[in-house]
Amino acid sequence: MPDIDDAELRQLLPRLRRFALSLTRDPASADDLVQASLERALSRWDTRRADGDMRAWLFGILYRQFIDGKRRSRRFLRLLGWLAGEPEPAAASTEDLVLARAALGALGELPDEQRALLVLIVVEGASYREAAEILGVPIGTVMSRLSRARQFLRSTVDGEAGLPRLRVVR
Amino acid sequence: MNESHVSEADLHGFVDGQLGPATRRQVEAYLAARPDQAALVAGWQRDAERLRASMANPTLLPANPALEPLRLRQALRRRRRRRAALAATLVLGICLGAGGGWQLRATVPGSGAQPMADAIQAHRLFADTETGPPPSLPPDTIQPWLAAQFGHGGGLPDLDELGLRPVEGQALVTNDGAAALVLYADSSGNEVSFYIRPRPGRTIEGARTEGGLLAQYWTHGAYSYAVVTRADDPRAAKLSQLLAPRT
Repeated sequence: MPDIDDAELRQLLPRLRRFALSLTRDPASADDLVQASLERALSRWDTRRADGDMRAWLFGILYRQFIDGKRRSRRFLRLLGWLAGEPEPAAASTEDLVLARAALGALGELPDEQRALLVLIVVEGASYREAAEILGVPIGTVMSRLSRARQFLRSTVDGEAGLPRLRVVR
Repeated sequence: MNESHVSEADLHGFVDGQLGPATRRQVEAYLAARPDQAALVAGWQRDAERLRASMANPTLLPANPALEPLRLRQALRRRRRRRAALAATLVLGICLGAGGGWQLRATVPGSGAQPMADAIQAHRLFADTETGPPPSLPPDTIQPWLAAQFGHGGGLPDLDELGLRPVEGQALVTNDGAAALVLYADSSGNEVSFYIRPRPGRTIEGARTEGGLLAQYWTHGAYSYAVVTRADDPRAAKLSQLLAPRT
């Protein structure tokens, strides 16, 4: 029943937004991403497996939308650069990026697919199998990405322990 | 002592709480014996804690009404209807043009010749079970509209006893003149459509199935009518009982 589905959706919404924010690192584009993903999900509502996990399904749609969007915007930027004969413009203002970095810490410097994986596992508490399903990769890839992501975080955080890179709120 | 069997994947599983009790104990023993590995794992745990802290409380994000599911569903539905209405003017125009010897006839095999092909086509365009049940319209908004177009021929069937309520009226055009589709839906979003068109040259009466849809149709006065359901809709028989006596 759609009413129950909507309640479930509403409950997942904050977490979808959080996941989107960790991907886009910009609140406005995060919500745009969530909206586009929900529209996609609602328009293919009947392709959802009845016994499937709604969270994994939605997170998977959102992640694919994000990757597709990145691809499109890269193509677009290349085209713009080519038309204008200029180097590719920056995706976001420096100020936005600085703010997002401060909030996300070293996480913001990870490649998208590693960042997505860490957030899914550490913040969302997804199992490795769920994460593999959401990201559309084999479980072996999940493990190797996780290893690289953790190594990177360790080197960054430990290497710059004296810098106020991470603001830990207690 | 099988500590040596502990892999890096096990260490990640340990940090992420994804190990069974046996492996977990094994990893604990391993870490107790290997301070270097224990320090590494402790670092991973600290990073994870920081990450969780920095992203805690997603409910504190400012509310964004654009993300409300109901609103999204409605917007999606409106958009789809607009697209369907546009498609209807194209598709029906071509199908029906086929009756008049239009050259595109070959591209829509048979549909021009079959009675009430337009009703089935229209149902296919407008019925849309994917986005859940639409809010129903009070019948008194559709009835006057239908009567204005079709006069006495435009009576709106009351299908309440089958759990069907009108949810949408759509004006359409055929080459015989104006037509209309009224969409009914039940509480779980199953849709049935009622279709009125000017009677074609001949009187048409009967039922036929096409692509999983059942059209039951009849002619009365200047108009032909059809009710289109899914072919397996248990209400089909009852519908013909309810509607056919109108002749």
